[in-house]
Amino acid sequence: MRFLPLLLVLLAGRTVFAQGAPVLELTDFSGVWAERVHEDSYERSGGPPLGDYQGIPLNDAGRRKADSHDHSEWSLPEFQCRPHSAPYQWRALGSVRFWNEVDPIGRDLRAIHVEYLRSLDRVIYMDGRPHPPEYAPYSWSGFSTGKWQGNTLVVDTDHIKGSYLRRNGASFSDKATMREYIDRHGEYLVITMILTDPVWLEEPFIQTTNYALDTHTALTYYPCTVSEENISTAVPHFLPGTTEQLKDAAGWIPVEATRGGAESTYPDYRQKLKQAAK
Amino acid sequence: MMKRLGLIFLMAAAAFAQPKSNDIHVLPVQGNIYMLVGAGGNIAASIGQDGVLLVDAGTSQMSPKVLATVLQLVTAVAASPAPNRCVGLHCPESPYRWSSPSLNAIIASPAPPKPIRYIINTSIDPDHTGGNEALSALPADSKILGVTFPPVGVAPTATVIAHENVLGRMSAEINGKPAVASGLWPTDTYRGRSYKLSEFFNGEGVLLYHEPAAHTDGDSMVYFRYSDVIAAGDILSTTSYPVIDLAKGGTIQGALDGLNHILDIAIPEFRSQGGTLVIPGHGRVCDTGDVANYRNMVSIIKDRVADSIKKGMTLQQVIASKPTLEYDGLYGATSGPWTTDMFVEAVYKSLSAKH
Repeated sequence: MRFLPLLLVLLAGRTVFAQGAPVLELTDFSGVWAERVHEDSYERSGGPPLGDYQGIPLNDAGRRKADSHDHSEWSLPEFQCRPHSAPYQWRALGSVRFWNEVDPIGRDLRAIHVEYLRSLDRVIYMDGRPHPPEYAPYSWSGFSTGKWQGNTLVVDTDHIKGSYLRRNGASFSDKATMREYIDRHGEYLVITMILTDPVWLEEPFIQTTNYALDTHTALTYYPCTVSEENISTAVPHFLPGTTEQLKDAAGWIPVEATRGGAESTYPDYRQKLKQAAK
Repeated sequence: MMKRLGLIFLMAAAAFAQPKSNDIHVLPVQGNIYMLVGAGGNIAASIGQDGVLLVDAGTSQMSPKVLATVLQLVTAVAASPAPNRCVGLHCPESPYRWSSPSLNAIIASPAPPKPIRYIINTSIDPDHTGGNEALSALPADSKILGVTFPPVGVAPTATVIAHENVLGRMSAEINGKPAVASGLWPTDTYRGRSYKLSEFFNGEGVLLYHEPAAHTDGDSMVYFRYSDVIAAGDILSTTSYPVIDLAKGGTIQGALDGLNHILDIAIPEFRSQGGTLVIPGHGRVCDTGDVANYRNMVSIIKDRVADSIKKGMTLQQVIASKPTLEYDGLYGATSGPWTTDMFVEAVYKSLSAKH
């Protein structure tokens, strides 16, 4: 019984707190998070070979786009310093840093900023602002707004410039929209991305990536200078049907499985391949 | 400062309001430049102390709404009353001595808005030139929103500038009549590869570049040198394949050259983004990254059609091979004034003409 007064005080405090200022931020992601090379190792290390679209629900148009890709497009002056786009960035090289932009008076969370090694500062607006109209500019990071769903940060993004989804040319268009669920589990971060593209995907592309908190690292400077020496002025690409390397990906799985598509993203597809192999 | 804040709020409200059909929408772009959306083709507007310069005029049907929007803009940007910032030693001496600049700034009514002084046409198309007459020849006593526009004493006509090929095609007689009514003709033309206004307008140089065989043979791009904005006209569109008007001198190579010219002028702020902004003839505001993506699409399709021609394929065979397949969801159309098949046909004929 001697603890009863203390208990009452605590309960009263909890009640007051619950009725006072609204809780505007439920999870703090601030800090630098290092990549964990697990399920994402295929993207982070040497990178997938040409023609490997497994796990990506490409439609025919998306497959044509990917098949035409020539990695030499990176030599174009306009693309030499091209940053990773928001959908690709989570599995790109390097750590990620989160920091909160807070109103100095009201202390409400205005925005969450996300920074990457070689990309652009990405802003997730938390102040309830609407998304811009269609005719406003698009960016590589897109326009993002966030809201809380329990302890999960739910981020909706549009106005993203079309770019690559995988290094071998599988791409998304600038009509794509993205929803992300960002969860913190202690010192681990899980990002679940759902990318919807009516132009190049049959179904939404769903991908998870995890990071671990790293309190002894920092993002480094990543300079970029455009070189215009000894490069072609033409736009590099492969004409349809001329990319011999497309079969490189088929060394350990059937060719049809490398071609992507919605069907290939479901577990049942394994059985279909086994049946086809018999 | 308050004036600037008020303007920012006004512009922000305009910018982030979701578009309604049949309305003109305003997007502040950069520096002096605003984009007006919904008048047919996009309109770029330079607003400032010298008045208004429009790049393109929209359709004739939308002229009243364009005019009302321009007046709202010019009033908000250049003619609104503002708190006095001139106090004591920081105040320039008045030539009339007895007058107090501080008091006048507070009690004075808003200055009349400055008129439209220039309209530059990027091509001959009616969705870019249809408003020429109504926007340039506004009656002196016209009152919109209760404000006299243009102010008394200012000639109520704007100079309409275009490449001479625009005037040539507009004035060419068809069955004894000019192709386009004379009220829509440009009043001033240029004939070289470039042209510049003879003096600053709203504090910056304005340059015109002729793209000799892109959408047509009379295309102009307009570069606002200080604001760092290019109004590209129909050389760039984010909503369709390039409209190549073969009958008016357009070619696929010229369209590609025009896009590369934009990329030659434009400089990104950082990592292929921002910096020089580009207002397309139709669609959203772009930067180098967007223009490069569009240029790549045009170049790839051109290469495919050229390869098909080299193999001896007919136009129908080329269309059946779907050389635009992956881009149709972004720029294609099966109906309307510029279908995918029409684009492929234009590319095919444009390239065939060289062989």
